[in-house]
Amino acid sequence: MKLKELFAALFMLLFPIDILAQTSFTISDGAIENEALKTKIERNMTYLLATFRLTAESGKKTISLSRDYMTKDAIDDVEEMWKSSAMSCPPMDLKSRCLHTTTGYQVRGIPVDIHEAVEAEARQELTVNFNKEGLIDGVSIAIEMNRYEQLMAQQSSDLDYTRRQIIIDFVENFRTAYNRKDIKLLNSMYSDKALIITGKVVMEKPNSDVNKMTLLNNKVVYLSQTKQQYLQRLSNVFNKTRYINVSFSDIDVVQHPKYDDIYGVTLRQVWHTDNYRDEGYLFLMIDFHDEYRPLVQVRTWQPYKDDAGNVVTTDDEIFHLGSFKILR
Amino acid sequence: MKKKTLFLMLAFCASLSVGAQEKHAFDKGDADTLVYEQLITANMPNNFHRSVDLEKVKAKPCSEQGIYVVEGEFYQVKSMRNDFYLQNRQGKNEILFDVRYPLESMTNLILNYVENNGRTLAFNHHQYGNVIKSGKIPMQVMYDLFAPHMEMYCMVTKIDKDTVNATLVFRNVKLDFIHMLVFKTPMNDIFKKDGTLYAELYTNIPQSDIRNLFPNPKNYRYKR
Repeated sequence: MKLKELFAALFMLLFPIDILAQTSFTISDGAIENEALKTKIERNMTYLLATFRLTAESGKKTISLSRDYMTKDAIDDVEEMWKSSAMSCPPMDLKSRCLHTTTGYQVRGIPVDIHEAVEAEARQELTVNFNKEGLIDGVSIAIEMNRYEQLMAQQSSDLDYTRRQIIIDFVENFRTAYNRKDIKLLNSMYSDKALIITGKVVMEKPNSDVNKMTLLNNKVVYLSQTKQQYLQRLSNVFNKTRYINVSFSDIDVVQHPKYDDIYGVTLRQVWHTDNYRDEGYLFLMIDFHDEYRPLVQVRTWQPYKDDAGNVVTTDDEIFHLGSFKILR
Repeated sequence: MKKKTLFLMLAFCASLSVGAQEKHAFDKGDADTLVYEQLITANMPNNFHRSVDLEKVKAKPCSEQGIYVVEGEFYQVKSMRNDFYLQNRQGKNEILFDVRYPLESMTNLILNYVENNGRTLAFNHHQYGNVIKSGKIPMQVMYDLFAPHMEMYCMVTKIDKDTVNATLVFRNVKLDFIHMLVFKTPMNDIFKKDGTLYAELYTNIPQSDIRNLFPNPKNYRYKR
């Protein structure tokens, strides 16, 4: 017999053809430093996958597993699963991370085909647990990531919750800056291109005898300022006042429907210094493009009532996100 | 002064709110600074856990076999909850903490149901004045400071193979403010006894001024 033929015969004896279609398993990275333990886990997993394949191919309704590779609990798990359906792992070279658990080790994401399942659900993933000695002690079908994704999707509107609380935190810092007369911080909180609009009640003289008999007309006029103009005026106010107390209430937080990093905050503000008090509606357009450095792009203030106590700004006159066109 | 007394005093100080602090001449800046100092200096864990009789709680089965949820309440939004999860092993209820169940395990961990928590909390504290201060403390210290006086709620917002994102809220009911941690942490570290969890911390966020966190956007007209 020629050398070549001898090698081929030996090869066939040592490696029967069907093993060429087997699944191999290796641990890809290093939760396990002990080489002997790592080899044992790889061997036990390979055994499990080979047994699945051979039993499924034979059409047997029960599976027979050895305590040399698995604990009794794990054998019970697999026998229970096999009652519903045979399963097998497609021939491939599997490489997987091995995780530490409280009781040993775990390998996840082992693909198996569930023979009795409908096509759409036939491919599942197994999670296999090993005890500290490397024996398989649990086998289960993993809950797929998309199940968690489904759970997460139910909360998709609530995912915005965190961002809105960060906005409330920002608004509180904003309020505190006024109370502390912290011009430096206010300068950093306003965008350099911020639009600042302040409303002022202007009393109009009545223009007829009839109107003299009725309430005077009050009109709110709006003054537009740049950031620099506003902060200069504010700095003068801070210098002239001993005490400032700004309080906020009735805060609403609205996300822009098109730009999801733009929020509108509407609130009621009471401004109280040692010699002045007013109450009005404050609107802030806050840009979260830089999540750690949000900026006020628009600030508007509208008086709530005039000196006589008449309401001069109704709810539907309050500035909001829709009042401004955003150019990006 | 005995260490325990000092620790309890520091814990009380950490629970003061902006509202209360105005009475005591604190503002948000001072309040944020105070919380940071309490967290950094109180580095001896007291191992505070609320006592729960796991055999007497009302546990509902989950879709996962052998896993049960003890339903609590929600805070502000339906997903911000204080539910926790149990596993029944050989007829006995245990707190579920298993890498096969990352969502349930993360929930139990950050709601402080996992005993002997040796993990480290690495946080960035977003304070008044655009100040961000970093800290690394035993995670249990945070619970020892906040949990005795505050309710806890959490929401796991994202899970993938490598990372878990979650939001944890401590709520002071009487003074109506919250501290909030936004976790973004490697999956492996959750299950490592000495792992590190990473979070952004926001403190002293008043809730009494809020009318509506989620007003109906249809009430606001938008120019197209």
